[in-house]
Amino acid sequence: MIQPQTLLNVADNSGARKLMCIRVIGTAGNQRYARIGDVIVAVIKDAVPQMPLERSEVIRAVIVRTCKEFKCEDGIIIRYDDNAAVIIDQKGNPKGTRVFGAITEELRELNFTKIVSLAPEVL
Amino acid sequence: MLSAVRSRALGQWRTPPHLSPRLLSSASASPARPAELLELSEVEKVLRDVRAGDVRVFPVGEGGLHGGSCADYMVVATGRSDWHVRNIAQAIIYKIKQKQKGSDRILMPSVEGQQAGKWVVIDSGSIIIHALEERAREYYDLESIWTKEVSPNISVQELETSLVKTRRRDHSQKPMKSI
Repeated sequence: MIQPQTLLNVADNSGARKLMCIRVIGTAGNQRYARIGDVIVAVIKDAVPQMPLERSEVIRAVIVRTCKEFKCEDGIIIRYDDNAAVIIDQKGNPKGTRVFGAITEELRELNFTKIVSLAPEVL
Repeated sequence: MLSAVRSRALGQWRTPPHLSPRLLSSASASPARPAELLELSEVEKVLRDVRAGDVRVFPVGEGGLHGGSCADYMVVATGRSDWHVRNIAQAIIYKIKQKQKGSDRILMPSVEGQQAGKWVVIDSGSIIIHALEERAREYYDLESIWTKEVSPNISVQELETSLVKTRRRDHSQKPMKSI
């Protein structure tokens, strides 16, 4: 359950450390909460120095991990310890070149195969 | 609605239960894998015909990347420009359509990044085809992920040997009691 003002970790090596959600991009109408596989607009709150991304930059990100449990189609429920997102550009290409941590297989069905193929572990 | 259809089509492509650790718990027997969209040799032939450069195939199935839950093979090809990358993707989609022509319903793979053209991914179930532009390929350096991930097979073997149950030797000096 990610809503505006939520702080998220970054699960890639793009150079940002913390994001703050400022808008959930929904499929229909105004979506209130974002879950795994949703795209959000976010601000970079904290960034690694000497990297292309800077603080207070507005970017798009895909949510890959949530504290709120995520129900899969086969009945498995997945819950992570943190809220994390991967930074993408307008066309859907990931900004970083590596993704850290475990990623759900559902992202592949939601057309984020690129993120899944960069991940070290798929649940 | 389109996405619903797509996800259902992809749902069929899930790996069989003996490969995917996630599906082990759900004992409901899923049927055997349906016929593949494309064979590996056909993919290679198409890529050769459209002159895709530097084609490499990575077996990432069982025991490899992601524990085999993702796909069996990753195919990476390089295009000279955005147009070329898009044409590579078009050629593979055309081949898939041609192959399924007479059948009553056509299964299409999910294609990603067709508009941008820097990195197009065609996810046809067991084979995932990545077509990248030269600079994008350098930037993402996909080879290093998959070659590195496959190599820990050795450590898996070591783990297996260490897990073999051995009876502990009896070092105590006591003589055995006669029964």
